[in-house]
Amino acid sequence: MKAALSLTLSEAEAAPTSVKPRRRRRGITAVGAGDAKPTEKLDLRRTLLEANGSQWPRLTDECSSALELMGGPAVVGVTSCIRGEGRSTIAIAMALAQPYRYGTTVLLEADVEKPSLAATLELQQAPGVADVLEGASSLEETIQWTGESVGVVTAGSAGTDTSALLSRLLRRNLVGELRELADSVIVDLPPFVGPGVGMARACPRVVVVVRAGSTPLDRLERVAAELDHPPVIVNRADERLPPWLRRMFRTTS
Amino acid sequence: MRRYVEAYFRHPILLMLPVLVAVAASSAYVVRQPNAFRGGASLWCDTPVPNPSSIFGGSSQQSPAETQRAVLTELLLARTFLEKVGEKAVPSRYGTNGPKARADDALFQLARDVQVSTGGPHLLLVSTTGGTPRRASQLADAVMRTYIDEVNDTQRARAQSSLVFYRSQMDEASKALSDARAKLTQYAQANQGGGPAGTATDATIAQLTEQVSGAQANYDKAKGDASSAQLVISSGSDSGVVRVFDPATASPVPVGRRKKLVFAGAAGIFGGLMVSFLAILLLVGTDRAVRGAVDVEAIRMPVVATVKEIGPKRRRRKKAS
Repeated sequence: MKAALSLTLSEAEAAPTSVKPRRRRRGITAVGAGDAKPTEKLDLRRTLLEANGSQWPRLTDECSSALELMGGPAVVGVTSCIRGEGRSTIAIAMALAQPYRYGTTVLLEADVEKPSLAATLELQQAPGVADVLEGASSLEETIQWTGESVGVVTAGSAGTDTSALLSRLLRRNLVGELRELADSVIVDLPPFVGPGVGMARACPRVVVVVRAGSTPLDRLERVAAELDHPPVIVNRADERLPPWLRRMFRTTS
Repeated sequence: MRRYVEAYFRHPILLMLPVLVAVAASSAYVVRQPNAFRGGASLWCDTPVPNPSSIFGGSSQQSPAETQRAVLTELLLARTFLEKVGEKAVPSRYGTNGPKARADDALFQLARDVQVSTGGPHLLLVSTTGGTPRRASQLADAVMRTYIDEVNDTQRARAQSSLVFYRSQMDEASKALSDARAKLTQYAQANQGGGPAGTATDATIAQLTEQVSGAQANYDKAKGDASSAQLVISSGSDSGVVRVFDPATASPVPVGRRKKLVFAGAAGIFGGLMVSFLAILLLVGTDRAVRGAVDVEAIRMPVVATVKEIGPKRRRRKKAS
């Protein structure tokens, strides 16, 4: 599998080898958008721990291992076949997992149709991606930094015309701009349908989140064909089989 | 195969439920059945008179009890015999006055309630089952009496036919004997004074005398056979073939249900497992979702991480607590 992985993830070589100087963060240590009133520092880990309990550290560890297997971050898009497969959760975990090894990270919410990061992380919804695309605010101002060297760019006030917003998002190289501001970028992509297909293709590397028992196999096969067998993170892989039975099936297969 | 086993472990309650329900239902059915009581009787079987009894000499052939068991088992398949038994046992229940289907059901149930076995070369055992000790005893008694009547009737009918046959043979033998005697007398009178014939005359007399003896033997045999047939007819109800040895009795203690419960439980488990098996087939057949890393790797997509049980489900639980 490792051999296949190294072939599939050839872009991994493009991952940064040196951590960008932390001075970049200076001046925006106060959490919140540039025009937002200064608030106390957000502690994403604490927020998530309160919401999810002790399973969060385990999740970030898993995501950290996954990123290492993929050859390190730089830019990683997180997509899924359908909604509700834990795509945003995995994206957050990946963003949290990165700073220790790869420096500053920005989590970009590209799913402007159904944004969820602001609510999950208790951040301000606007300004965000939509505001940047409409020219209402600069990209740097929209980054909401946390105490973990993780910045978050929420979807912003998208309004109702999300398809026009998505096409503008596709045209503008937001990810490239963010790479100037952080060491790595994690993109919380929309599901792999409609405009989500184009956005996933625009990302240099994509990881697909699959929820066991929910993701249709035919949809995953389509993703595999169109994105050339991208790596997968299986969510809710709750193995009910006893270990000895699992071993037996592995041996027979 | 893996998907089927996984489906079982994913829905253990759903798939065990049919087994539990089936076992509970079959056990409840057995428990709710009315009590059954066992009755029994035995018959003494022997060779028919005037033949010597088989108890005084062993025989390599089938024992009388075995023969009678085969006959009684055969008769228990016959509707007429069952009707006779039913009328003797409980006329109101097995009578033919009611609807035919109901009477048929009752007769088949009656046949199921009777078991026949042998206790040795001469002892035929009749076991019955009934809702009450009295009914079980009545049924055993009815089977016994009906069978004895059937055997006696058959014996008598055969003896009647044999008697007619042996009498006609006796008449013919009697006539042949009279003729032979007349010829001998006539010849003896014709050659009373002796004469030139000498030795030839003696040979004719010897031949005629032999004919008389043969006719006499035939007559005696026919007479003996007729007497035997007459004896059977005159012996009335006791043909000597079967007679009651132990009268019908029944145990006041109901038959234990352990065996039935075990069988019902086994049947329930089997039925429930079949339902579970079909349910698994249905679940797996209609399941088009990815179930784990193995399914993903099967379409040549590398799995870089597996995350166990995280997301809204646990979050909700946490919030609730």
